[in-house]
Amino acid sequence: MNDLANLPHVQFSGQQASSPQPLSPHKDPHVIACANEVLSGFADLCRSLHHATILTDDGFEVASLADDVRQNGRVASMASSMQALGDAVAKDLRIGATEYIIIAATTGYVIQMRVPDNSMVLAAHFDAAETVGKALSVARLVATNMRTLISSEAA
Amino acid sequence: MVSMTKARHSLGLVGLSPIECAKIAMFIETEAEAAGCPWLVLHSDSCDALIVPSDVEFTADPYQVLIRLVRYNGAPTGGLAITAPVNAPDLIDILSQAQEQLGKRQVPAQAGPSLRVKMEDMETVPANDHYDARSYFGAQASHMTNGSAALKADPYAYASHEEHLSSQPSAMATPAPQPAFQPFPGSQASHSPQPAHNPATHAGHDAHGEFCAAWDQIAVALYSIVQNSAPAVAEIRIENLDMIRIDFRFRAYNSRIPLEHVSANGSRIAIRSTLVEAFRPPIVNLPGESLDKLFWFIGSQAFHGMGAPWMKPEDRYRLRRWPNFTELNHAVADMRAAAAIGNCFLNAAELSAAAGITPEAATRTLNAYSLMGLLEIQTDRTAAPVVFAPPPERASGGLFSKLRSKLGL
Amino acid sequence: MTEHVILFAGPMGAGKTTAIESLSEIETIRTEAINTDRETADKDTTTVALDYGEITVGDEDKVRLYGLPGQRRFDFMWTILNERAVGLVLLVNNDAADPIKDLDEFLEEFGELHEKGGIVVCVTRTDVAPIPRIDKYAERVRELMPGRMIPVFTADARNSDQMRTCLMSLIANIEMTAMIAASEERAA
Ligand SMILES: Nc1nc2c(ncn2[C@@H]2O[C@H](COP(=O)(O)OP(=O)(O)OP(=O)(O)O)[C@@H](O)[C@H]2O)c(=O)[nH]1
Ligand SMILES: [Mg+2]
Repeated sequence: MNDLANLPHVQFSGQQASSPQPLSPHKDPHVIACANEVLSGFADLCRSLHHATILTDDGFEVASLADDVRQNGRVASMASSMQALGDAVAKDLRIGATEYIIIAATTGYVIQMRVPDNSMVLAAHFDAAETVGKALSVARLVATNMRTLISSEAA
Repeated sequence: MVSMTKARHSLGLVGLSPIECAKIAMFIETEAEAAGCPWLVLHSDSCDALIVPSDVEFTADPYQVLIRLVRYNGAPTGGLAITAPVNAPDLIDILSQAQEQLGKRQVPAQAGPSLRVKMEDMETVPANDHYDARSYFGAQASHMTNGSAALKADPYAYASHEEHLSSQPSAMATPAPQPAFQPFPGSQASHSPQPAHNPATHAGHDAHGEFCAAWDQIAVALYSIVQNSAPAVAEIRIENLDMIRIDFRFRAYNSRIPLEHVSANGSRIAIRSTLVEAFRPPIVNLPGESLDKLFWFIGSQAFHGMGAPWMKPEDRYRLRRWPNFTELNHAVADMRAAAAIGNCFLNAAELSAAAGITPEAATRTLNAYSLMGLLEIQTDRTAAPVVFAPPPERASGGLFSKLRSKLGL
Repeated sequence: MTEHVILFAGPMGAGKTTAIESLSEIETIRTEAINTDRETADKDTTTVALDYGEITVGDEDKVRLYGLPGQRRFDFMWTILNERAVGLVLLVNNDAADPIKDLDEFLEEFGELHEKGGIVVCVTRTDVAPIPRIDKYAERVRELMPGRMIPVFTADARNSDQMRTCLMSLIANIEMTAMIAASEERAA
């Protein structure tokens, strides 16, 4: 029944470990600040980045690069579904944990991956000018930065 | 207040005081049956005979016998009358006369039970569909309130000759060890109290005739109470100490044993019912069990598989609400029957054809649904019947029947 | 092989995932994520894409059971899965703040499935909250979808027997309405 054990990451940011009901990431000012910081660095790293959102596993927007609130919310929900479907497929095929998901389309692509050790996902939309390889390594860097920032500032 | 299992007619007490009601109920319980004059007493104005105070304006329906209660040396009225204070011989006498009148009115060909209850106009919302206690309590029971103290009385206040009923309603709500139940007057020594041989069998199907007839009357009584839509409570007592407690205000009942185990070989069942004030505490442990479950059980086993007396064979019926099967002891065929009668007006024969069940099962189903207040009637007699084409599915049957065998239902 | 897609819709925490688990004969596919909206439903996980289960009947029919996410943010999944569906099990948890309003919203969203096949309403968690009673739902369904006969049941999503009763009633109703429509067509 309870699928918690099967979820790749079950920890929220560490600093609330003592409180029984941890603040969810999208409501936690500290987490939101970290996400904003990391995302603005992302834009500097990669000019072909169109849009990026950090979201909770269950699809709430934590922070985004673009200002379109409605669109950000939409991306957060869809990315959450995608991530879960990816996990479901990987689980069914017994190929381990999902590392990232790529959707390649004619004029751009979407890469999404988990923020390590957190129940958050980074979803980023690039235009076709970027190579997939570079986009992927930048995205990985951003996701790792997010993890580091949360845990270091919490400590 | 009390019904005898052999009652052939129903007696309604309208506008009487609690003491008058209690007395009449007691006389009937103790003497009437022995005198060959058994009656089912209800607080309803839709019975075969009615006792109504002479100073209360009242018009009986043509099928009813009206007995006037003359108080305080009031002027004698035409027709049947009885003088207050009521005594047993007078009562028995007047009831015999009423019985005689009813006997004369009866259509000789009528085979079914002669108990009559008024059929409400089903075009309006059936009375027994008032589930919500809040809105229900706000409403006045139209024909029963005016100057009728008896109808508002607490039943248990004047039933003190019976020990187990003298406790307060709140205390009754706690399941306590039951004091020994007095066998009904005239009952033989106790039968071997066994659980039902086969829980799946409806009690009325295999038991001897007397038992079935008793269930018929319980069904009629329940139907009549429900049609009345006044706040009421009731107890069904079964000889081997089993009791079913009903609170119509909450559409709930309690039974100490599961219904399927209600004794099939006990021969005596009785129902007591009375009106209660809305604010009285419930006589069942809430939430209790849904009254639909009880009505489904009783309705489908009463009347020997014949139509209930309030049903007309030429009428067509349709479900106004789906039965809540998850709480009913149902078979897969019941789902198909509900689907059929849920989607078009059908009589028993048509239901039997549409759902692939026997005509008797179709009749039992209609009886039960109608007792549960689930049916609406087609008033247009000229409407063309629905002719069911054979299922459009492949010869092997539809998904329903496949799934049914798959799931082992 | 004929496929019959049945959707399980309803608000968060109504028991869609649980119901499919109770009915499916294959290991269900789930897309649960840690639930961060504990105010709406106090449970550990929530569905973010879909649930999937199956019942295979003979070698001719397959009943595909799809559970939708309850939260409206995922309504794009509702649209995607709605397209192939022929039946709807609408679950509503009785312990929600305003379950009748939930019923309204989901019937508004999925009501047309009645025309494509059929709908059944299952009121869950009545052991947790006994009120509103089932007839309130039936009444509301009648108001919202007059002239249609939609079964309404109380059911515990964890109880396979009860969920089977709901599913079988849905299918019986779908087949019966198809049969009546066919008969009427023939008569006309
Ligand atoms: N007590 C009780 N619990 C129930 C009943 N039905 C379902 N549940 C429980 O209620 C919870 C329902 O959770 P889910 O099945 O995840 O609900 P869901 O509809 O899939 O919710 P989302 O996917 O978040 O939209 C589970 O913990 C079930 O065990 C019931 O009738 N009574
Ligand atoms: Mg779910």
